Amino acid sequence: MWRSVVKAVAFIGLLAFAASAGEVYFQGAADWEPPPLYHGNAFAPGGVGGAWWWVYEPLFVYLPGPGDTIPSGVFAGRDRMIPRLGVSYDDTPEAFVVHLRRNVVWHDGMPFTAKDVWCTFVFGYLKNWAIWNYLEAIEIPDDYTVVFRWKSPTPFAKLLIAQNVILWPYHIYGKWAERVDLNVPSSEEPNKTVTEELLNFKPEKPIGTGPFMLKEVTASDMLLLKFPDYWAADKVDFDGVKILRWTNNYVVWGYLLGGELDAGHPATRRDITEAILNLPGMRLATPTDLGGFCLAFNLRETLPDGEPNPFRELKFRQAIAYAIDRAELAEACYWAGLPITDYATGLLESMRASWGVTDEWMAANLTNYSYDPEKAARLLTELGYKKGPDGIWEDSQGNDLKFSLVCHAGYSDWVIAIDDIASQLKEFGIIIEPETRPGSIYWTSIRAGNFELCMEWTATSWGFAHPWAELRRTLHKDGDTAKTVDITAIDILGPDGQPVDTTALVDELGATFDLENQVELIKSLAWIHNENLLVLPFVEKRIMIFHREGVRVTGWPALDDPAWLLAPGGIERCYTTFMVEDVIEPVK
Amino acid sequence: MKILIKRTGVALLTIAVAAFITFIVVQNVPGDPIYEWAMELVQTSGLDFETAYKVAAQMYGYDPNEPLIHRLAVYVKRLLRGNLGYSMIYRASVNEIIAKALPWTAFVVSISLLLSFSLGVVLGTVIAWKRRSFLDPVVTGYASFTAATPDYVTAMLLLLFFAINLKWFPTRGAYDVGLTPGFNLRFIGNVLHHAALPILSFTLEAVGGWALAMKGSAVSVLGEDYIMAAKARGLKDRRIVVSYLARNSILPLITGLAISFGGMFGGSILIETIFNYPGMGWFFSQALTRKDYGMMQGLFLLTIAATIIANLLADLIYARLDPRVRLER
Repeated sequence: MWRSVVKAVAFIGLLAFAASAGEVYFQGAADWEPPPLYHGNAFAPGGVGGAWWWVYEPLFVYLPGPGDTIPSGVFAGRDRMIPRLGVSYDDTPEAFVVHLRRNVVWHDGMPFTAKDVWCTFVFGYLKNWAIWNYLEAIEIPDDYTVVFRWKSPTPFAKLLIAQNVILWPYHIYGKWAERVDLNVPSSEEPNKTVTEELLNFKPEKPIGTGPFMLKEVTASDMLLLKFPDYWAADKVDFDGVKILRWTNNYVVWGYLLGGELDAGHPATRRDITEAILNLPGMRLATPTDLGGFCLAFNLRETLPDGEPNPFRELKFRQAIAYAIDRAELAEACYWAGLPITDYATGLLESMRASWGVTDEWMAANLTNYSYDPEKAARLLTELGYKKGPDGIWEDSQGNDLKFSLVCHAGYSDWVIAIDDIASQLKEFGIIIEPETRPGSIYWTSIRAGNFELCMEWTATSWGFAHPWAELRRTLHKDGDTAKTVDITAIDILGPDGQPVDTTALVDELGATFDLENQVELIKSLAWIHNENLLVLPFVEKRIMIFHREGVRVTGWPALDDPAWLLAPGGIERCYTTFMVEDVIEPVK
Repeated sequence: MKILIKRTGVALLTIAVAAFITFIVVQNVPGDPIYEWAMELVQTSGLDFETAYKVAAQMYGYDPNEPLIHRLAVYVKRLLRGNLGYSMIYRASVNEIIAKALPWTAFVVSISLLLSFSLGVVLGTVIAWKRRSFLDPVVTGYASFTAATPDYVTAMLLLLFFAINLKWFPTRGAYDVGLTPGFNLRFIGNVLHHAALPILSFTLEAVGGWALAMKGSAVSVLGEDYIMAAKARGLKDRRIVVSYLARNSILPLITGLAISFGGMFGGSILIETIFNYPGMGWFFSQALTRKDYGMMQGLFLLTIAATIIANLLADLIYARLDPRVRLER
């Protein structure tokens, strides 16, 4: 018995000594499937979870923005394509050639070569990766060169290349990759069988080339250790990464308040945010989340009940816009977001200026829809509506203006938004009946036109981070929000007052290489978006990245540093890039 | 013996009917299991919704157009082989998931149940015996308060106070990462340290209910002649309380305890989520959130079967404990 006690004390002492010897772990929070569901195959659900950006790497990390060079911040003057597994590239209209880094090894010690990149993108074909909409073929002339050959020239080559990480080593997955037929859809043989086999493959732990290797995963913690053979091991000053499992935001707030995290990004209420920011060294960066919320109008010939549709009338939509205090709405539903209060350009509010859509340009060229209920009342009066004795606007037949406004039941911020809109419009004199629908039927129902007013996404550039994607959402006939409102149901007018084919303009923007031409097209489309007011944007989502400076980690970029734009779509991409690029390090 | 066989047969039949109803209900739950993942793909990969939906459907291998009768046949076939189901999302056997999760839930919940039951019985007896003492309103008020408070609030408060502020207990998990599970003092100590707050949450939530139930039962026993006779015989209070009052009052609570043991197989979604505890509750929440029909059916059936069996055992035990009760033919 005493021997056991002595042993235990000695072991604890050893642990304490090891800890004091300077082992430094970065601590974050993320989600994953706990054992026995966890496995290391990124192809199947439950595969990798929060280890993703620590274990895997892309060819390049792309910092979004116009031009080729990062203008400011910790990466000022650098190419927007920050090298990782690729060291350089040749970008031509026909092909994008990536020259790979040599002396890179996978976590199991096998060398990394072009075949691994090929294997990854072949599996990407099975998973319908967006790059395959542009890709004709992928060639590997030698072990360290990969040629991405385009179907037609695309200005988004860099984004597409940087969008995906290299996940599947050829020496493990090659036997399946060799069987994939790139000429048939993934749902047909032989690809269907390959997909099925891949989904059932469970190698326990992910094997990557990244700076950290997965050591252990439990239901509550994930432990990653520094990969000693990592190609930039000398720059990574952390001995490992501890990830605390993110079951819900409340729990992560607790971790932050308890000082357990070096960085975390839960959406947080204002009062909790203030409490967290009281911790020594705690800061809050709020980069864009590459998307925003809008109120969408149904533009179809009739409303779902067969009644004539007043939303087809531009002045009617404008009246609604003037009647809603968008600043109040944004504050109520998503306080940490960036309110969109004056215009409706269809662009990300935080990034539009860098693409030429500046405040000055908007003031000179666009209709301003800032909150003005009197203007709203004038517009309705012009359209023949009048206020009834009960304060509710009536049409010429004496019917009250009354509409339903639907949102996704699972989006709590949208639920708050529809209540706020209903309350504001009721005060103005329009009755709004808020309604929530389960997520499983929400999108299909609104895309089928089964709504009067609804909540939608706007200016989304998920995975792309370019105004083309933002504008495509609403102005291209295949864009998701465009389908919801049905832009084909009305004439969208250009500056000359004539109908304009916005789909063609968006396609043109997606095909032009000339930056000046891109800017001109973006301005034109922003004008069309604003003046036709197909939707009313009111807030841009921002990610709340809490991080502690000078406590365990130091060197974090300034809060307005564009480097934070690496966060959307992969917060840990920020952290790993900061480590690999020697931006952050442990406090000495 | 005949009665036992009959009762067991009825229990098995009930389980079979429950399995069938569970299957029908789960399969008709509104919603689409593929949807959530499709939306995730839209937001991470830049795919449009239709493409993302197709990809997700293929990844899950789920065919919403497969006839219900065919799905039922597969389900029954698996059940007859002792297989509770197959998670379509994780492509894993539900039995395998339960084997990993159940021990943790059973560990925490059984300790909590025994603790809360024992405490509740003692408190209930005391407040029934001394009805005008200060303890009566305190316990009754506490029981009403905990009954009105969701269990996750208690869990959250304990987490904030003892784990985050005082740092006496770990905030999460079943044991420290890096520790190798084994039957040794260090591991057992670590597990108990991690289980302390979940156990406390369960116990604090349940003890008031048991105390009130015991009080109710004890108050009715207090009016019995044999209590009066015991008092008249001049027996000591302690003996009357323990041997006459508590022993007879506890009997009606046995059924409740047995059913609670059966119900523990479902774990507690919220408490386990807050403490990141790897029990059944977490998997239940995942199955419900992701509409994983296979996992939902398996977990529901396990919980229902456990409750029915516990109920059967309670009946049998009750008959043994109380000679006045005989199993009916």
